[in-house]
Amino acid sequence: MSTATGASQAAVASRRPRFRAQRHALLGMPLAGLMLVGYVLPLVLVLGVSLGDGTGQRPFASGLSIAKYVAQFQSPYVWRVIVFTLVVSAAIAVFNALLAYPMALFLARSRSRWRGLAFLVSFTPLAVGMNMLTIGWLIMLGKTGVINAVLQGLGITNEPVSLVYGVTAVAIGLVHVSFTFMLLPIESVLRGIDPLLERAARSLGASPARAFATVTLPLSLEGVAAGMLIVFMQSCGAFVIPLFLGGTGTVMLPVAIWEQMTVANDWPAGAVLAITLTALALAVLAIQLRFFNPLRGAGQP
Amino acid sequence: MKVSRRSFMAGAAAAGALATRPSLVMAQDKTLIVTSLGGRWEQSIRTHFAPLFTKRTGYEVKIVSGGPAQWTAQIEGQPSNPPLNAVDNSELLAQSLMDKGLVLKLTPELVPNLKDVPAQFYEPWDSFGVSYQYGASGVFFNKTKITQAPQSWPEFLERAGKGEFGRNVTLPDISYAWTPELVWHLASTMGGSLDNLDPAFEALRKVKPYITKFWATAIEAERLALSREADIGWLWDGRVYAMMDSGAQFLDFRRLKPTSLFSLVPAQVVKTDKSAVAFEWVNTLLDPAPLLDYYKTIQYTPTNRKVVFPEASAARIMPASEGVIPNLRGLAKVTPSIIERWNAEIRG
Repeated sequence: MSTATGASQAAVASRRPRFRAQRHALLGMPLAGLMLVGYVLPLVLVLGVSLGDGTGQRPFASGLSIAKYVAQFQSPYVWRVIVFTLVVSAAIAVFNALLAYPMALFLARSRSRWRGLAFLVSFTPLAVGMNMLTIGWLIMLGKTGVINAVLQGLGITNEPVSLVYGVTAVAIGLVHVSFTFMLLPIESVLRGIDPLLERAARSLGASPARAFATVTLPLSLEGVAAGMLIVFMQSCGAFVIPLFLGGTGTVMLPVAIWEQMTVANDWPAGAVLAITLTALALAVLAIQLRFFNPLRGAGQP
Repeated sequence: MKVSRRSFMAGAAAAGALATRPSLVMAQDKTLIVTSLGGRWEQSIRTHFAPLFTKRTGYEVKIVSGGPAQWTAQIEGQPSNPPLNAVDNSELLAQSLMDKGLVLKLTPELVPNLKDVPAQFYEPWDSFGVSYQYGASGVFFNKTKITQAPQSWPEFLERAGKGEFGRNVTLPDISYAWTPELVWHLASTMGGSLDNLDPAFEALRKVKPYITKFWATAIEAERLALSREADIGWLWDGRVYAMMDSGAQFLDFRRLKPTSLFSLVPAQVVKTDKSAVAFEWVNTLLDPAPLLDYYKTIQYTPTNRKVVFPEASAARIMPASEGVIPNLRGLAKVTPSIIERWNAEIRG
């Protein structure tokens, strides 16, 4: 009897993790379904279009060919756009990290009464949205904009200064719109770091700067990496800001995709660039997961 | 204008022959899905054309806002069951739908108002589309700054290229769907052609240092004009007149010699089980009464000869004989090379 009971308990115990795993899998089903329909399937269709010759009415309708990939990657202009997109996006991520870190530290550590207001202000780019933010910067930076009016009003310049329609304006817009996405991961990680660790370092003789550099900063790099990844990917996919704040030399990949599809009516070429953009984003994501994956090692002793 | 029973029956017969399941026509819901650009275009379609159409046919109109590239992709993506019944297309994409056999031919029997429209507004698409309005290209200018506006395209480009207007000139970028047509048009006014676009690119290279912004959308061009960031630039007449009528007193518009480029919007009937009703939709788009209201809102000129314009705006209207469009098939062939040259010579 006792043997039978023991066997039954062992069977139940062995089934428990499986039930838990199934329950967890069920919880993930809605998101998995959404990703499948909203991301994987469209991606496969876009891939199909990129491998077509444009004569078919549907993806995979015509024969598969890599001719469009070859043609696009033979174009110096396309390479220039790809490199520009990557360099600008990386620069935005780095610059944003430098800007957001002190603010995140303040939000995570300070007990100031201004903390709530600072949180609110840091959320304004999300609340306003990319289009309004772009228009706002056009009003600020334009030839007849606020900054030029102030410069001329103070007699600093006689003529309007060109502040918009170039890489600087694009960078300002992208930094602004993605600031919150950099701030939140860093603030979240910083908040999770026990301040006693830094205090322990200081009690052992480290200066405040050294304690920060050797304890807090390394522990918060995971948040910085997550923020940089989000900002990088968001900048790579930016369309409105490069289009309206940029000029002739600031074409980024999404704008090039738009041109291929709406002006050249060359959907396969546009799809090639879209696949390239996706591949670049996934490659950066893979690098981030390889080196900064917070789940890596979770559950291990 | 009322639809005669004969024309309606002819349309029904044509559509019935094409429909794979004619028995389902009667079972369909009474909604016709059409397209429009956003903003005041959508507003005009909804308030001026849709009520008349509903009154005539009993069908409600559902308007899908967006742009020709999106609509054409939707139709081409589901050729056996297109999600749109009629589409307002771009000049080039209209040919794409026509070549793929996804739209139907318009005839005076199916679309009676077609007989009052000059052939130049449907011949480019072999009657598989008809433009119910046209815009004409010209230059807007800030008349407080530019007292002597150019008279011709070569003069405009020459003066702009010499820096006479300062760095206050604006032109469309290659992101704008009509820029390949513009390049052809500029070339053609200076002795070029679709086979020789050098005159246009040569002039544009000279103008480039004086461009405040190559704009990507016409709304952006309007913003550049209204904010006075640009003192002079290329744009369609209707958009400038609409800004002037909204209070921009410092603005003026001039069509330049020898010709203006047409902006046409071919309306097309998509092959669906509601094609008979869609023919009537296109017929309504060509109807003089709503077209006049449309003109008052949009300021793009109706193509129906029977539209009687207010005397005050007669001077604004370009005679159809002064407008040109390129050979669309030829343009489609050279568009990739125009984009390539633009990227190398203007953006490079």
